[in-house]
Amino acid sequence: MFDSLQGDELYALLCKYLLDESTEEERAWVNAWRVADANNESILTGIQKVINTPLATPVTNTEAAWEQLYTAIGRPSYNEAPLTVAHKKPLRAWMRIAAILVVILGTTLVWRLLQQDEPTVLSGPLHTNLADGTVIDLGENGHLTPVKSFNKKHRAVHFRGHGVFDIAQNDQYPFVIHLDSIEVKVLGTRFTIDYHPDSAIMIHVDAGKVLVINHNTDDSIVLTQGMILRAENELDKFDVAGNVVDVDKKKLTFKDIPLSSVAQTIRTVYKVDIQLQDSSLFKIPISATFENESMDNIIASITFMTNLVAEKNGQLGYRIYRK
Amino acid sequence: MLTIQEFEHIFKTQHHGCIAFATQYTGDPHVAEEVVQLVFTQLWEKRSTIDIQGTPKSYLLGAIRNTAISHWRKQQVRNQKETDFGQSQSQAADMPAFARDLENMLQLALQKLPERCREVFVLSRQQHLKYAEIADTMGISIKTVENQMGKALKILHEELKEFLPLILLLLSAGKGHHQFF
Repeated sequence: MFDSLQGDELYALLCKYLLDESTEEERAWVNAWRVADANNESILTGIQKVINTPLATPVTNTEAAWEQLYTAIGRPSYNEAPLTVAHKKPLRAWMRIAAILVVILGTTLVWRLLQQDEPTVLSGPLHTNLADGTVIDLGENGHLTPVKSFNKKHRAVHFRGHGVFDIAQNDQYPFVIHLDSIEVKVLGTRFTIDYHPDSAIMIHVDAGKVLVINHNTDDSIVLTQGMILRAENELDKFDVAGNVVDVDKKKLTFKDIPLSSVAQTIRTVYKVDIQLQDSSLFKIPISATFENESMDNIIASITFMTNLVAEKNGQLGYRIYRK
Repeated sequence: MLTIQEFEHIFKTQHHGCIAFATQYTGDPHVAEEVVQLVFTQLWEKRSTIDIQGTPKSYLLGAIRNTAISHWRKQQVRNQKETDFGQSQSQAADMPAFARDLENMLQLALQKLPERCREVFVLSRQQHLKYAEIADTMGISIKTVENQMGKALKILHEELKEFLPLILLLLSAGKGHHQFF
């Protein structure tokens, strides 16, 4: 009778039994199985131990996390008054005039306050320090707008253009850079952004780690040191590569890196197409450092090192193959 | 519509469980926190239109699962690329060579489960969901949950069985000796 159930099926049934998910009939079967063989009881005890062993859980700080979330959603008021229906009473003439004056004065005051409270736009070229200790070098076309309530706990800015960010470390309150529908979230690191609306996006990480989220495409990715991300526009998928030491100087360092990955880095940094003849070339290791080299020089070095041949493939491409 | 008070209550009661669940996918509590913050932010932004079927916990775990899996899959691609680049920072290398207790061993063994199997096991044993709730969260049938749990248990039992007799022996000895350790 008990030979009919083996392997996964038996475990599934025992698991249901131990988790109190089994039917009456199944319980009866397992109870009979337990006494049918002395070893069965120890098997069940062993499985129970596996089931009851707690899974490791990380230490969390819910209050700090709530503060972070509350800030991220714009700190909505807890005192939203419920809608009430007022009893209408006829207004006297002088009360009407007074009410109109109050509205006019109030509107003027609010308008003036809004003018005063307008967020500050910082434009490059500029070397600036923010209230949380973050240092930013804005390029000529760089425009940075910290949110009105920017402080050490609410670190968010809107950005366009070219800028180098050195973010002050704060593990509890990430620094968020809004590039319209793309968000860059960091805890503390140094990286460069080049972003122009309706045009190309480039992010390069010098040190640390950043999370990039595109709310348009529902895409997200973690970039680490030496990685570069490009996208043609906000609707384009992310193009990512590694081994980029300095993006402005086009400094690339490879140490025993497969040719396929080297080709991907060159594609992303130089925006050229590089085709490898077949997959047998993919794993050929490359060790080299290039800085501000022309594409022709880089391709010539790679083919020399690997004993391969390259030919130009149109205006913006190369094809690499065996001799 | 969800008020800020209700939203705060949901967050504070579910945050720990959500982080624990997300960490199983991302392997990094910091990234898990990002995923959870993203899910709650979206919940708040969509509060006027969202229609939560079932419990908030079930909704949150489903949303975290979708977000975290998306992130996890990209991270797998990333790890593969990093391996290709010779920069692999595989977490496996950071794991202790000899796990000292069953909890650690279970954590290591969990990594050997197929993806869906691990999800079902974590939802059951970490989030303590019933089979029907797991089926609802993952969009699969209860029968599939039963099968995946059986498969998970079989693999975990195989992985850990050489340690189980010793642990059971220690536990039973500990019952008679309060000062066992």
